[in-house]
Amino acid sequence: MSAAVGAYRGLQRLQEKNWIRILLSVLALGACAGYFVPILVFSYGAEREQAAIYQALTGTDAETAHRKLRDTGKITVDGRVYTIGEQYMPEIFNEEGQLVSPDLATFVAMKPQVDAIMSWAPRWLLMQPDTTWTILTLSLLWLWLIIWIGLFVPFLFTLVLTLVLYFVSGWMGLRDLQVAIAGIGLLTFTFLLLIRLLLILLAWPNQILAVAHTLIREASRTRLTLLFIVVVLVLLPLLPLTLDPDSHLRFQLQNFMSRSLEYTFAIASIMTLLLACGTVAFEIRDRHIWHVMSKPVGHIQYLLGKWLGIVLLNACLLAVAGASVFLYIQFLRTTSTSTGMAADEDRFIVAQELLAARTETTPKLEVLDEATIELEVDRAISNDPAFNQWKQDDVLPIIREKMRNDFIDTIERSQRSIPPARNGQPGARSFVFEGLDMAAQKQVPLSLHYQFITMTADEHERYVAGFMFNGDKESVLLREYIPTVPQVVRIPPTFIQPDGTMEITILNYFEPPPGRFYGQMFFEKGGLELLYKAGGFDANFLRVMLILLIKLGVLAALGVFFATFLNFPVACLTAFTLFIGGQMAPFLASSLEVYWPESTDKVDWENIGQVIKWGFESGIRGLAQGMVFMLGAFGEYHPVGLLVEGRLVSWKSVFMSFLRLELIWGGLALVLGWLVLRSRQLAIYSGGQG
Amino acid sequence: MVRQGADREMIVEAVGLTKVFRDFWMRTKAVAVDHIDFHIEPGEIFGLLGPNGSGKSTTIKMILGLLHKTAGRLVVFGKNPSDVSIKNRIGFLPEESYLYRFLNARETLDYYGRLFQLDRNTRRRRTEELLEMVGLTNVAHRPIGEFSKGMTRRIGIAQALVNDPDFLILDEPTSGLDPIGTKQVKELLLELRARKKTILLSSHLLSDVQDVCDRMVMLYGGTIQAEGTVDEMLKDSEHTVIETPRLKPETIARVEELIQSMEGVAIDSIREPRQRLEDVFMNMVERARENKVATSGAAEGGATASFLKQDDLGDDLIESLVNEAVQEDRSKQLDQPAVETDREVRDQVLEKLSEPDPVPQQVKGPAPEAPRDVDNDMIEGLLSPDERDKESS
Repeated sequence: MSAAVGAYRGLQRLQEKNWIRILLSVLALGACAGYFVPILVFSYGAEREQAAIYQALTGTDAETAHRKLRDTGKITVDGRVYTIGEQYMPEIFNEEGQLVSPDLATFVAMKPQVDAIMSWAPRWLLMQPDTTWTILTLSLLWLWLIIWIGLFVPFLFTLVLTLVLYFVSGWMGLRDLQVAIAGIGLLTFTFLLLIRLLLILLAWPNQILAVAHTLIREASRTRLTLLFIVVVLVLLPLLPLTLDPDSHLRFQLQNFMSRSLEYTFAIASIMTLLLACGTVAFEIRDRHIWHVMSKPVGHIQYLLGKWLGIVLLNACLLAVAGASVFLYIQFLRTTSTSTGMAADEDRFIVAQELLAARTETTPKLEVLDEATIELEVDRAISNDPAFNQWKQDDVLPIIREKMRNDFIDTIERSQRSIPPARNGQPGARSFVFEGLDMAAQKQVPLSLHYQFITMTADEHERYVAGFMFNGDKESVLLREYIPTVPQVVRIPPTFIQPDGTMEITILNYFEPPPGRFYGQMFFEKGGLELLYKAGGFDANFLRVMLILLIKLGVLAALGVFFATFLNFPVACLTAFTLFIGGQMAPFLASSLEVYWPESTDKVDWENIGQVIKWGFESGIRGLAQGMVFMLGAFGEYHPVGLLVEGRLVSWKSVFMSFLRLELIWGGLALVLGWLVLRSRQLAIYSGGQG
Repeated sequence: MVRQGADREMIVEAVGLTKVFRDFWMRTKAVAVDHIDFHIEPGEIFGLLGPNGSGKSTTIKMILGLLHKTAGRLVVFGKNPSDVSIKNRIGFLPEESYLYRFLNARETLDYYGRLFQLDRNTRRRRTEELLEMVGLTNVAHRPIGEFSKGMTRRIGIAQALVNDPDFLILDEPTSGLDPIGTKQVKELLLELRARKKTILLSSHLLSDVQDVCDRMVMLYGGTIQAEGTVDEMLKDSEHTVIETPRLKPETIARVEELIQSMEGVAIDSIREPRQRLEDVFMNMVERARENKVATSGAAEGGATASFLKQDDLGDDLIESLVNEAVQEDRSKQLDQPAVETDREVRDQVLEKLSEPDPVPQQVKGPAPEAPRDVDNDMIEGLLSPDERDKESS
């Protein structure tokens, strides 16, 4: 035992020598370069080929290329011939022979190149040089940090232990467990590395940093916090075991992304609230704060230090969790749950619609001006027999607001409906989508997402809808749809008008029997969207993690604030209530649209029961409105949902969430905490002690 | 404003200082401090005495800004106690050590050093010196949560000194310490006084206060009952004590006759002096150490940290000389690894620090005089019955 300890210490001493560090750093650089540079060389070449194929299919001489592809299944670019299987043609060309999916054609044309080269390299890296650079840089930084922080020996031990467990589980035939074990080892070590790095960075002699530094030490040595961290680090690598291997790749990916990020955020949120409330409340209760406040530390510095420590701890946790989720997504996207064309299609949808950052445009509806709306509300009040005895001013604002909302909803609803066919002519309504300049400029394909509802007796039957573009009858696409089921139709970017707009006329082919008036087709808000790729998945993922961190920062500020004047359990209870309220705020907001207390004219004011009921309902509505106003911003930012749907989370929304959540709400909480702490007598407990 | 004395500013000045604790409805719950006036001058050790609930700790916490005064005037270094800038010059040891249980001794001192914005080298040097001084070097890696009360007290004293404060506030500094630690604290206080540091000492242990304080106030019920210098308060001008080697009964009889004839009074009492228990205990520990009896607790405290004994200028000079020596040594041993060189220098320093202190001189003459009964009676009269019982036990 003493020999082992001696050897360990000897290795530790050895790794502290600069020449060893330099040697190891050079070796790490060599290893990374040896692995990643061939991938980069290939992927840049592949990217150029891919761009050339896409250009050939969408450029000025595209017609010739389309014709050749349609006729021969081949396309020639720069003298090189690419073949596309017959089975893909119905997806690539529409009934009229127009190319609707140049990206799928490119994807399929490039597939043999990717499959044939470098079986040792991860397939997902072969087509993404930017991601390869990111991973190369991160890997190199990771290794250099291990070497220069002095963790190389523990790293070797962790590596050996993980490898032993990895091979043992492999020998036992537990393939999934192998990946999980490797993940747990990697995540745990990376987390420790980041914490060590953080402690080094925070060692600067500054009060805020000193408080933050000690908070991180506290968190890493407190069982409760450690438990949450361990749960995240162990849970994430085990999550893939819960995926259904028979389901489509896109569903597996969506499930994994959604679960892993939601669980991580939920666990980190609970940890944040407990830690934020606990660290301040217990320091006040146990009088540790006497020591701190008798030193040259301002109240705001103390609170900022606590907040910063929690945020940095969360940043470490999210960085490790995010990196593991990201890497597993990249691994998963290359796996196959089916074979042949189905597998290719699955992977294509994943690449184009899921692991992408798509922006959406909704049709522009006619908006009535305020004066017209008010006039209509006045008219409705005058025409309503229930208000016969009332003057306009006597109508309660709450009633007026409800009538106004109902009116706007009715107007919008009427614009979202398509009449049924009459006399063999389909019912039609045109919608204009604006702001498609970027899609036209980049020549990215668009996808129209629709979810129709019909007013027929049987909503499970299939119906036919048509889509006509820019009034061109030649462009009509017919699609079968099942009411309430979301569906997608691909649209080439060539349909975008020079002014960046696109008019889509929706045709309703259902014709009710003569004399019957049903068969109207309509969609709810957000039930008709035009989406196109506006960015990459990598950056989108990063932005999602940033918003999650911002939200955790707000929770930290709230917890710290409540703990300045409440004891631990009460502070926790209050903070958790606000957290849950915030998460539920969007649901609450939509519920409020339909939750109204009984109209005052219908309340029997002499019936005390009815009066109490009306008062209770009004109170609940007021409370809910207050919560939505206060916490709406917190729940409004739900970046994981957007990521899972492959939608763009813009830098603007990151900035706005930082401004609204962190600066305004978090800042307000910290300022209030400062005021409380400043006025509070921290040594009040000692009154009886002399 | 700072009250100007003859030619110097006061460290603390309290005029009509009052603290009333109220309940939620603003009803008076307790008057902890009731219109007290006092001041603390630079370079003195000022004692704050009184039984439990007399207002000592409340006064200290008002000085530190941990409690707000209800009425009166209180300035520290000429500023409001809540002013953060004055805290740079203050060291504080509360009546119990409320330190983080998850930090070890070295991390604790490093943390508080950073709160004072001390640079890394200064923090490292002071941390090692203070740990050596309070005898915790060997347990520096253990979490504070595992420390005994005495060890916690020692690290508490160390943290109060980490910024080399101009004004040191000690609330029951010897509580929980063994007699060796107590003696060391007293020596430290005297050493700090020699460096013109100002100390506010609050204690129940009256002998501690008596041994080191220059001036003191005695509180009871939140008001000052007595104040003055130690000499003024302890002097008994009604009696004379003559100490001689042991006398025969006939010699005593003749002395009494002489006193009777010349002063017209008789001898009040004649008794053989007794050693103080503290001296007996210290001798026992000294013998045990000479016989190398093992102990698992805190080690004997080392010499006072150098930064507490000398001016920073001197410290810096020594530091620069050490650095120069290290560099010179390195240049001579280019073939030796740097870590080894550091280790050797460190070992030399540690070896020097761990050299035993000179053996204290055995008391040759008669044992020190026991405190006079009249003084103790007066002080202990202020104590509550409970406290008196504790003291006597």
